[in-house]
Amino acid sequence: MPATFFWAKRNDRFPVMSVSHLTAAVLFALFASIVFGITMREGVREQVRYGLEAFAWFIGGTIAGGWLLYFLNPH
Amino acid sequence: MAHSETVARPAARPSGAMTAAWVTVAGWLVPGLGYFLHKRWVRGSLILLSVVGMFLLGLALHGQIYSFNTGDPLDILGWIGDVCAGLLYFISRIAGVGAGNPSSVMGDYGTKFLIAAGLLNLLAASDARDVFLGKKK
Repeated sequence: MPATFFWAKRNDRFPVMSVSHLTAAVLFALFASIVFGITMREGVREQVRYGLEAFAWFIGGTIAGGWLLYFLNPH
Repeated sequence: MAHSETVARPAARPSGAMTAAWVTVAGWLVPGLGYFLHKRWVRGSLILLSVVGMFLLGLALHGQIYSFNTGDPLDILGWIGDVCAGLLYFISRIAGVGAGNPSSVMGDYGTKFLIAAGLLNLLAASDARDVFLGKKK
């Protein structure tokens, strides 16, 4: 069992959060797109553009995947 | 005849005994530090915000932080992904957070957030190294 700091013992656990599936997907897309934009392109303009494209693909893919699963098993 | 073409100028390297390996290690340990060493404050801040944000969100969603193991290959890969988050991983392990909640869907999401944060951090550290070497502006 790992060592624990006093505050970890007192609070016992990290603050728990619950979000919807879509919110989780949007937050994931946001953070990942920022890093992709910075690391995959050179120049601010290109980085912003690539980041926005990546974000759109993340969200579009999530929504498309959701509808695909709905049609595969609508009940 | 004089050449009028522009020559790509290598990025200004941090002074001292800084090497590409140190920049990579620094970027791995602290998200964005590899960029801060080049005085790329905005890039570094965005990386710091994104990686730390994703990691904390993973913990808040009750994600599981993997400990070193030699069992299931997926668990080993999960541990590698988590370790890539650098000090965030070690601090979380010492603090005893990240026990996870396998019965919760959000816990599963959180586990993926934690791994993704580590992998994004590794990507950024590698990019900071390229900037240091002048391979990228």
